[in-house]
Amino acid sequence: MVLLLVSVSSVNAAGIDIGRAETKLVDGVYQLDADIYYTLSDEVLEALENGVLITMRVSVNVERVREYFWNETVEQQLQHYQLQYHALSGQYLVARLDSTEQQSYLSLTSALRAMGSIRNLSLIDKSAVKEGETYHVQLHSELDTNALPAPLRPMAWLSSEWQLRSDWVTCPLRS
Amino acid sequence: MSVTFLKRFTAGPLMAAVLSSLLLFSLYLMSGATEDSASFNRQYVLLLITNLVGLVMLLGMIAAKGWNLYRRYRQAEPGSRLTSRLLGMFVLIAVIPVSIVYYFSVDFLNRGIDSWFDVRIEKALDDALELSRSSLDARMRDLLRNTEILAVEIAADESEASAVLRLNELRERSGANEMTLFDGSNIVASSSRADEIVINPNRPDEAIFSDIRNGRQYAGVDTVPNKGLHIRVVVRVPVIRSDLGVRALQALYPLAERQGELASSVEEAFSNYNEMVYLRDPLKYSFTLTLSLALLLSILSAVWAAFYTARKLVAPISDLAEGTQAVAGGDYSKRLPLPANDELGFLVQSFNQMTRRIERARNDAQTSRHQVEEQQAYQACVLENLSSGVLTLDANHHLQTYNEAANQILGIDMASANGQELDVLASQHPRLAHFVDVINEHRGSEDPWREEIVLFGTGGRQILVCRGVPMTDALETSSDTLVVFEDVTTLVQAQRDAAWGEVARRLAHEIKNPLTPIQLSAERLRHKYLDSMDEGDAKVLDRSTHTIVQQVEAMKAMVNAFSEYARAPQFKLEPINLNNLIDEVLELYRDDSSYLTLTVSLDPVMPRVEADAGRLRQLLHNVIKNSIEAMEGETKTPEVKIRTLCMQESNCRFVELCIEDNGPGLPANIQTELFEPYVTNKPKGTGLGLAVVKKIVEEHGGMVIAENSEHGGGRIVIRLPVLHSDSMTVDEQAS
Repeated sequence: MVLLLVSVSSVNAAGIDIGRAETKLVDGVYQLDADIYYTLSDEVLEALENGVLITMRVSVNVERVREYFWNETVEQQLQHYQLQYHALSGQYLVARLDSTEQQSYLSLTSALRAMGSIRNLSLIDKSAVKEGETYHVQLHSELDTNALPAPLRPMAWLSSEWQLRSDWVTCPLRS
Repeated sequence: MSVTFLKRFTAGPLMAAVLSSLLLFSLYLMSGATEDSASFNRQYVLLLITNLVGLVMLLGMIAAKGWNLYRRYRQAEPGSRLTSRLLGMFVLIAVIPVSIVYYFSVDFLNRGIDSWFDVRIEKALDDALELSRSSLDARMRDLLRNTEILAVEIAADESEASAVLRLNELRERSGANEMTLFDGSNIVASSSRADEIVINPNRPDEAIFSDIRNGRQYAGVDTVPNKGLHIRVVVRVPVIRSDLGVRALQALYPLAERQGELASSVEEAFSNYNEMVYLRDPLKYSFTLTLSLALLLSILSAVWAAFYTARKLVAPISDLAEGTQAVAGGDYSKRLPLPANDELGFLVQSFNQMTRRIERARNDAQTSRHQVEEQQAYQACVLENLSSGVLTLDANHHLQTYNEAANQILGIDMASANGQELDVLASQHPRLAHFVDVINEHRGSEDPWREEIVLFGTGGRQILVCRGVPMTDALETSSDTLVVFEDVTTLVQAQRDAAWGEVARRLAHEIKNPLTPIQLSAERLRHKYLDSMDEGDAKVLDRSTHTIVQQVEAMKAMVNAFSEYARAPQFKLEPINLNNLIDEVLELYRDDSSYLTLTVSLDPVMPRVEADAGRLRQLLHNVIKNSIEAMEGETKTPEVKIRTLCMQESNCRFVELCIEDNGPGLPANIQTELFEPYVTNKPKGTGLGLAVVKKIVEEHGGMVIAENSEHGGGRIVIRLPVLHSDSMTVDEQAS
């Protein structure tokens, strides 16, 4: 029973996990497919339900592995995903900040799933990749507290409820 | 140097001012950030951290200063108490108003924020939203019905191509904005849009598809990017051909323009208000945080400033306290640094002036004291080396000072009587009673006095000339008496001796001259008339002339003796051995030693004395004869003891000759005048024997004492100085 409780609570524990991340080569461009599982804390959920715009920042770095030196960052991308509750329709809207793409979802679960599902994200041209060198992709996602409304920020900075971030996940760059 | 500068910088007011202004500036920035100023978004954390670090630094500095003050307070350093008190006062003055302002500010802030919200507005917005929803609901139902009819029409088309054409037609007819047909795998089969070629039709949520598969239709309000609110209707297309699977028709109907605007507006207002209500607490929280930081900053700055001000204020006071302590401890060289040109500065300046003057006065006093001491030492030296005795007495006739000569002259040690009444001296030494009486007689006398005092004691008669001078100081308050006295015994004696010598010389001269004619005349009378006279007359003449001649002879002898006494000394000084001389003289008395016993004890180590041998012989004869005469008829076994001794007293070397008899001793009545001429108790004596002895002894620089021995006889002690060269020789022999 205790074990069950622990496992339930661990499932419900707020946080961001990166489940799967892999790259593929499509038409001479490396693309990233990844699944990010967002679990919102109660504080964040409350804010969302009250109309606060939640922004998730996904950082993707392509690095050249160097044996005796720091890795060289070849490509750096920042993706911002916005999640919003639409009171009139009772739907959740997910939008990517750097595109006009916007999708509405009936439930939060499907909205979060859609937000965490990264498909065909163009990373780098094949031509930019040197032969014989090893590259890998680093992936990280976090709740962007700076994008929150100003009054909420000090609290967000100080409260652990708002500190949602994943570990850095590394996957090899391959076709 | 840089370290010192750093230390001074961090300890000084500059550091605090810099820190405080920095914190104030960052607080200003932070309050800007809370007002959604985008440019400071990223710096907010940095500012917060800076503020906190600054506060911690300030706190650290204050703690260091507080600890320092506590330590000084515990050690009771001057100024620490006053500093603490001032500090407490300043802190109180700063903290209380700031706290009050803080309390009311927070209260006002909370009330202010709360006043933005109103339950009625909230209700109105809820109602508006509800109204929007219900008004949209009716339309949604209509559209759902219409779309279901359209779906039936689509189902009738057997081929895919005709379905696409039909879609366009149906869309135009129904007034939908976009119409899409999804096949059994939820893949877009065909799509039609009013304004453009459909490439990427709007897809419904996957959940809607599962609803469709379960036989439920969907109609709902939805937002379409860039196109505002739409009504999304998804219906199942009736299944006619089993190979096509479950198909779904989606239609997006635009809202009427006015309706859309209103709905959007209501939604936006509701959303914004909701967000604001939700953000109310965070807003309060962040404002309170900023305000608290500002409060802390103000209080800490005030406390720091209080430390600085208190120290600055108290510094001259504690300097003064320290200086006063130093002055109380006798250090007048202390000078204090001058603070600012204010009242305290004036005080410090006055203090410095005061210590300078005190120091000068003390130095002067020291100098004069030194001078007085030197003068006193000088006077004491003079006093000690005076041959006259000096005493000072206070008004109550208590002995105050005396010199060594006074001790010597009086033959006592006055140390025991010092500070006591003079009468104590008389009770301790009855011999001095007369001396004390004379001084007491003149007690209170305002004029100088002079008296001659004769004291009698074991040492014989002592004549003192005593002068008293009343001493009055400038204020004429005290009436001390200065008594100066001199022992003039020797002087008087010498004067008397000289007088006697003169008398003797004149007598000899005046009497001796007529004696010879008297004797000659008597003899001539006798010669001339003795034979021619009758027997009776002849007898008378014979007897008379005989008497005259005899008496003249006697007179001559007496005059000769006087003459001898008065004769000016014609010395032939030579080194002689006293022992040998004594032996020679005693030889003469050994013949008739049948009745006289001579006991001789001579010091074998006898230095020579420089003397006239003849005179010394006379001296010995006189003394021995005197003793023999004194013993005549008084004792049956007359004995004369003769003893010589080489002695040394107080660095003076001399030969002592002691002649003692066992006769009746010296008669008390003439003891003091024994050595004066014409003093004798013998019927036949001239009284010159001992006078001559004394004269000879004095001619040789010696002294003579006559006293009674312990066995009752008389004793004459003669001391003669030793020849200087011999004294050395004897010294060497002795060593």
